[in-house]
Amino acid sequence: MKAVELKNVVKKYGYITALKDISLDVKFGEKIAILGPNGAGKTTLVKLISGQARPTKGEVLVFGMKAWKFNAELKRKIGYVSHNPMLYDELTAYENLKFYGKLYDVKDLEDRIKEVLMQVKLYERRHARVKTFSRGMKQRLSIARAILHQPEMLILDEPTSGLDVEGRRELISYLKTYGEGRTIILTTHNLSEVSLCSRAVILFNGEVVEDCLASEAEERYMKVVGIEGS
Amino acid sequence: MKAVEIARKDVAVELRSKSTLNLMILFSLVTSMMFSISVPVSVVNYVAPALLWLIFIFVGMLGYARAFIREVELETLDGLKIAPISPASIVIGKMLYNLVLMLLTEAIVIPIFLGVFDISIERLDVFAAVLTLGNVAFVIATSSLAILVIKSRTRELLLPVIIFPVVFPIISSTILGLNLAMAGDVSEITQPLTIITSFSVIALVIAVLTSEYAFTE
Repeated sequence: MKAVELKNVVKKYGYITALKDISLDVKFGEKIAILGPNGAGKTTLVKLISGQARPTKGEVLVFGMKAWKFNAELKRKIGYVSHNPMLYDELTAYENLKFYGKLYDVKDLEDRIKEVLMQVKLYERRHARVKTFSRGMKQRLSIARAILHQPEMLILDEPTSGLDVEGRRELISYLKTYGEGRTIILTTHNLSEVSLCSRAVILFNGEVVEDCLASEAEERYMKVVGIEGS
Repeated sequence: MKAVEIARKDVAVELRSKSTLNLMILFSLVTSMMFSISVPVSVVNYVAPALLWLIFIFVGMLGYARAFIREVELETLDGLKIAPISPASIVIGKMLYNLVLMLLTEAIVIPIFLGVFDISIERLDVFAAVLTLGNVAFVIATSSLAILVIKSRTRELLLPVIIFPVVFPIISSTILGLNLAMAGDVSEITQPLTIITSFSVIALVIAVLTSEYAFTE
């Protein structure tokens, strides 16, 4: 069974076509990087997979279910980390996780919150408001939010955007650890992050132009985009 | 129950930031004081319901839509959209939060308004019931419209423009009900209450039915 299946997917926003006839399969446990310059359609693609957007044409199936139709069971299988941490600044780290944990019906919530906060090294700061956190700390808490309900698939939409070099390195190391045994879909325009994955798909102007091994991604990307790696 | 969690979270955020509640209460108090200075005592009993409603309408427009707009601006709405909760639960959660804001504002503003105007109300119980019911209908209507405009870039401008024609039946019925309660003549109170209640139910059903469309790109 496939984790994700896109069949001839077109997504339009008004007159703008963000994705043009995309077909793509992702196997269970596979780690795939979606590469492409700004405006290539990477975020639109993961919004379709996470059910935040519906395709104009074609079909998006995730774990065999239509992604855009509300389905609580499907949503529990997905964890989502993007450049926006989706956290409430006025709440503490603990309160944010407690809120999301209740939305996801996480069992033994108190223990699970403690566990994930320890994993992302924020347990000592659990009672501090998120607005006092650095960008890197917010992203670590965002990972804790995404793995709190132990999803089968992690969608990572440019998770390191806005982080400094050290913050990027640290985040990638966390994602390597917590991505073990999970299907991962990572969007990025940073070639160094592709090491997280085994397969790479290059998007350009809303079309899949390359589907290759992650080890070949840099060379192929340079050829397609025609610039030095970002 | 998920709707209650969303409302509880919004109340916690608001009690810490106080960005919306302070604005609503301050606006209510300033307007009450301005009206008390400029409205002659001889006409107060005739215009009081309209003035009181005027305050609540503008306060509501300032406050109720913020429940959605703040989530859009901070991009936390995405976190709710990807969670295993139905879009209708998000809408109902926001409505519950707005009802809390409304009750807090009412509890502060009404005693002050009645105090500065020295209004005589024959049936205070009916007056409070009509006002609360009207406000509940206004919260439901504003929240329903707010989810329809959240995708628009000009949402904060668009909402006040479309809201007045839509909520006019609530405004007129509530003012009629408040006048009847002030005069103590409650024999015809059923008519405005029926309109307000029917409107609330229709707005709620529309909000629930349109929520999936509103939250999906």
